[in-house]
Amino acid sequence: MSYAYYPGCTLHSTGAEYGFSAWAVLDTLGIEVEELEDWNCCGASSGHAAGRELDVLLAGRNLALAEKTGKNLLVPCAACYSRLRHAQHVLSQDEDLRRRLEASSGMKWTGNLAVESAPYMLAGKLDPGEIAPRVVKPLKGLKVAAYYGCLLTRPRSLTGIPNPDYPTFLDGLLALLGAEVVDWSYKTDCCGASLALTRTDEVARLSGKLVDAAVEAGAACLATGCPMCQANLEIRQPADRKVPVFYFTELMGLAFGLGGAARWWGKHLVDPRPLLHGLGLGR
Amino acid sequence: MNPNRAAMVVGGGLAGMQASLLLASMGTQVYLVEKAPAIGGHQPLLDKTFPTDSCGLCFMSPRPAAHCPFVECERDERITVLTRTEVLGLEGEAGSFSARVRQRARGVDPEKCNGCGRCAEACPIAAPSEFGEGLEQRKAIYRPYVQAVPDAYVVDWESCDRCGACPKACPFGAVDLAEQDRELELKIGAIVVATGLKTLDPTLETEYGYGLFPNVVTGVQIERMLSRGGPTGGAIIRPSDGAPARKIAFIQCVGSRDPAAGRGYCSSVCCMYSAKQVRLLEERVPEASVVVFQMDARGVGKGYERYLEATRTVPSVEYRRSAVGAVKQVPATKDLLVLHVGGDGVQRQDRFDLVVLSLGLAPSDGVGELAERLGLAVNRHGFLESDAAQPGRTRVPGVFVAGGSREPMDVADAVAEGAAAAMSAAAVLGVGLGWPEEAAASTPGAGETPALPASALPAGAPPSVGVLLCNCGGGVGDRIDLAGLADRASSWPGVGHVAVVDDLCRGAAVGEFAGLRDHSANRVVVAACARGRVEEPLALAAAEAGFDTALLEPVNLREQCAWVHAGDERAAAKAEALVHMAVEKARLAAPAPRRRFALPPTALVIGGGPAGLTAATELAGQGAEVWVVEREADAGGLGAAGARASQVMLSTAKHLLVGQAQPYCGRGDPSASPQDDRMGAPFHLLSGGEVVRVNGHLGAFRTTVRTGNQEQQIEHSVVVVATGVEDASPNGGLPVQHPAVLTQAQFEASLAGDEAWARAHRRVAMLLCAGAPQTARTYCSRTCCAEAVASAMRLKSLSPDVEVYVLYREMRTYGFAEEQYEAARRAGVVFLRYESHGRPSVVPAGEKLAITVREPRLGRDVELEVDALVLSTGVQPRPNQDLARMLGINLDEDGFFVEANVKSRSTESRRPGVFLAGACQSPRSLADSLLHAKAAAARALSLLRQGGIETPPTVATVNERICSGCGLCVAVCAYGARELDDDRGVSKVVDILCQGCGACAAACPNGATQQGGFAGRQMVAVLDAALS
Repeated sequence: MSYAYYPGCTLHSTGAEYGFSAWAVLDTLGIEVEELEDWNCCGASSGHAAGRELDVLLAGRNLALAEKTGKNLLVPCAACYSRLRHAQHVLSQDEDLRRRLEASSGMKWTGNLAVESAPYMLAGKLDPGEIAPRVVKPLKGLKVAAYYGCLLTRPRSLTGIPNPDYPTFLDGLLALLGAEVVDWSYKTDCCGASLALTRTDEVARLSGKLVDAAVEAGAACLATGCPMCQANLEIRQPADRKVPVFYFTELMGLAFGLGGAARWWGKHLVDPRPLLHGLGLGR
Repeated sequence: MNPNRAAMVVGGGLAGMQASLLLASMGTQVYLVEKAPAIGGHQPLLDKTFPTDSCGLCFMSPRPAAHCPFVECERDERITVLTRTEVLGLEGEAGSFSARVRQRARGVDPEKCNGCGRCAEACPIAAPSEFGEGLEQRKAIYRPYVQAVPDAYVVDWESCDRCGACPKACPFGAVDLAEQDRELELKIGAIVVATGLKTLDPTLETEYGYGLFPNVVTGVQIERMLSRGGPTGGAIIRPSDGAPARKIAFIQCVGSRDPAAGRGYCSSVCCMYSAKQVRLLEERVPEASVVVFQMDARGVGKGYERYLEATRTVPSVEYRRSAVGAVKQVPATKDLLVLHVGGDGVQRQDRFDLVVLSLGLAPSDGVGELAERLGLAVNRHGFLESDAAQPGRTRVPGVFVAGGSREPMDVADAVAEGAAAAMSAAAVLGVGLGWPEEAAASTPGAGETPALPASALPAGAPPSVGVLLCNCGGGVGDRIDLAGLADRASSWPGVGHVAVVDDLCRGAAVGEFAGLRDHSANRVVVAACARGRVEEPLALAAAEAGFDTALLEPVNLREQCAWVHAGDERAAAKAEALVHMAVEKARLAAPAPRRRFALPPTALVIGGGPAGLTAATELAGQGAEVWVVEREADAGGLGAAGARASQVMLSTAKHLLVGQAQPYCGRGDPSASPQDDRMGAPFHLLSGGEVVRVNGHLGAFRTTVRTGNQEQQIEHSVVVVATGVEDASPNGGLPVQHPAVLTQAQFEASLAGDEAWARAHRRVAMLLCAGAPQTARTYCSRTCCAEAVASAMRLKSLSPDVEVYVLYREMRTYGFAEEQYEAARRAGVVFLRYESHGRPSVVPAGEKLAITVREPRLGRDVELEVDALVLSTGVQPRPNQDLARMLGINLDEDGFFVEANVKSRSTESRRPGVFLAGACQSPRSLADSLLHAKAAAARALSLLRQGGIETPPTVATVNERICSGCGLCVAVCAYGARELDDDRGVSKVVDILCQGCGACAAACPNGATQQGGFAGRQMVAVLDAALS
């Protein structure tokens, strides 16, 4: 299996541990990925607010780049995935925008490209038989709530992912890793996303509600596939809350016993080591 | 080619059963094909039905209310019930179809099975019951439900592992696990498809947590909980912990009105069924509080508006016009949090014990395949397509659809459609060709034929009661000591002989009855079971052995003693008491002379609008002589009478109906085909006529009609009332004289084929419910919302830039019209809601109008200046008081005629022989009125086609020697069957109308009135036996 890989800004910066862990896990599973050369911002968070054209042209250039590789495009970040799929859809409907994209980027867009989300590819599509044998350190005792956020599965018409309001594929993967997955009702509720800067109070309320609900359901931590959610959920916790929010790929790496795993924890705002060490994990 | 005279009905739900029963009573052989192992559709699931909160299905049978239609279908020898059967293919054409069907093996021979249940006791495999969506379990061999028809067990081949325990357990050899499927070829002339609806799969609506949270249940599940015979015995509990549910939320429109999910239509029944459930819930659990989250409340049937209003005003019930975003579960308690946005736009969250999803409806599984095999078309939602102007008609001549298979609808509409489809099929089959000689020979108005031969009881013989105690293959005898009972019974006074017999239902009956006669018994008590199927064969066997069936007294020892009191010694005592009571009743029973009255095939139709003419042409088409009285002078009367309809629709109907009516306007019309001539009967149109007097009764009405200054008397068997409705006037200070104000009909006429009007107006408003009172609504005119949406769309299509505002109280675009409503909003039509108490003010502003409307969601006034205001005033009943009085039927509080039963018998009044057709019974669209009229014609024809009516043995009689003529019996009789004979100062019984209910016998102060089979001294003896 071989993919073109779109990291987006966060996987090289605030969400670097997502990028590191994703690469390590993909490598372990024998899935080849090659970072898209000369990629640009997907426009997430604010691009679409500035207008349809900017939104679609930013994302569309990455699509045109990816088409040239002849491979499917793998996208770990839920927000990037959403923007890219959206642009793909709009370009297939809007001839005029397509022409403008081709004029501004100097590349052809044919639509002959599959954009896949890394979380759904790894947890929803990949044969669990590929994963189970790699689990050498089951995450025994780790009580985790799978958190999908709004963009990974919705809208249904763009993602095609079943049960978009109550997905279970991450839950299944985490259980396969040996974790104790708690069932809860807030797995696709909004964390507040990019309102973090303009309406910090709202984001604190929404994110706080999510962490509270996860704890109420019995979780000691959360696992997600969205860097924006991960940041909001960790940053907005009150001082006395210490609920780590993992990238699901970090937990895969941990269960796979990958050597680099210990280096990812330092990037978290809520240090997950006390939790992991208490369970005899991650040393 | 010889035409086939049989019909096939596909689908054994309410519509299919209704079609079957009516066709059968018109003399047609019917194959009732049902996929499930029992007929009945969803009805057995329902605890009660709105708006009567009762069942009322017994009114569905063409005969007087007596039996459940399920049982009637099984008992009627002209109906062949084929369960577990699917249609494989169809060949031929209308009149001579050949259908191939496959009947799946049942695994149990219904002729041998007596329903004892030993097979299920022996079966080791449990499977989820089809009933109640997973709340209940059953075995791999099972009875679909307690009263299932056919009354026999059935093997679920998917769950059964052929272990062989059930054939061993069956004492009658009824179970055959090697039984093969079989294919049949049915020769038929016409087909009715009534495959009905299913509730949507709730797991598709993941935002509400069904299947994830145990305390989220479906409407069907709460229905089962509400049923005392259901899995919780009527208790409303939380499935998570069995605790009583006290705070309950209903979420409406789950899966309906959801274009994103591909189902933009409205399911039409959920508003009402949830209201019924809320009411039953409040009755059962008064301490419970209920919140209903809904978009619009759609009560579009007769009495529904009042029903909704009454539900809304229950103090512990709150209706919130609010969209539910999500349902969350509290992990520790499994309580549910409902997130919703209120009328003020603020998001809220409320906690509940139980959340009920009011699921919408979709066509039954397999309808697509069936359509392909029959050559029918389906719409994009998978419903069967039928003609828009004549619902029920399909693209295949001779094949008709009825009920929910073509559009979501409630029981009342489905039953009417079943009847209408029976009429259509009857016309294809030409049931009019085979009138019974009795009817054909009699002259109109002829009263009665001689009484049937009296009983075979030898004159003067003392009463001697023979008693048969059926052991039921041990089903009774294992639990009740029948030999001991027989012993004791032998010593009772009047008992001639007692015998314990086995399996009376399986052929042994005639011999046993003959045996009793050998012992000189002249009346019989049969102590057996409750099986409806055996009642008639037993009666026949008794008659064959020479017993008058009026002297046959049944007792139920099985279900009501041996089974219900299993393991309880009181079963024996109860059995003895019941048998003793029956013996006393039989001992004192008198032979009942029965009389038969002829029904000449003659009908009077009052009202010459679309409904009246439809009923008239259908009846005349099958050989009845018909008089149509139309008040208006213009021939045909179409312009004035009938349902409220647009000019365009009306002219379609005119064309259609006049086209149909022609061949019957007098015999010997040279243009009529030979068949028409044979079937067609005289058709008399009395334009400008008025009914001034009605005398007589069913079978012998004498009606005086005045035309100009002439009066004529018409003698006829039945009456069809089709007086339609009229437009209501605008209500509440609207400037109706202003040139910018017009009615919906005027508006449609202005738009017809002319873009000039559309271009001349920049801004148009429509006001719905403009004729309804500004206080609480009492009924809905049903058609205005869809009409307004359609004409708004037409205006938009003629002139896309025109602004259209629709001011409404409640948007009632039920069924597929909902998609038009959605399309109108997308096209930019603005819909503004107003509260009943906040009617918009309309003030002339020069050539324009200034409208101010308080928009409840915004909480402030919206002001519009419009070039035109279109009023939808709705309809109101005509002043029918005089007619109702003459006919002896009632008007409801709104002025519409009262039907025998609003669900199952909307096409006739409570007075026998007086039928109701179209909007005079309840507001309906033109297309629905035509359907309803066809249904009324089917009902009338099924009665006339009998040729005559036999009085039941329970008819009341009067001892004139002691009758004082006080008239109490006349006052209590609900059927108009009691009259005072003023000349002789006594009361009399109109036998043909008497239903044998006994009300007059109870009311009679000195015992002058006695009811056949329930004489006073009989009853006293029965009570003594019960208390001894």
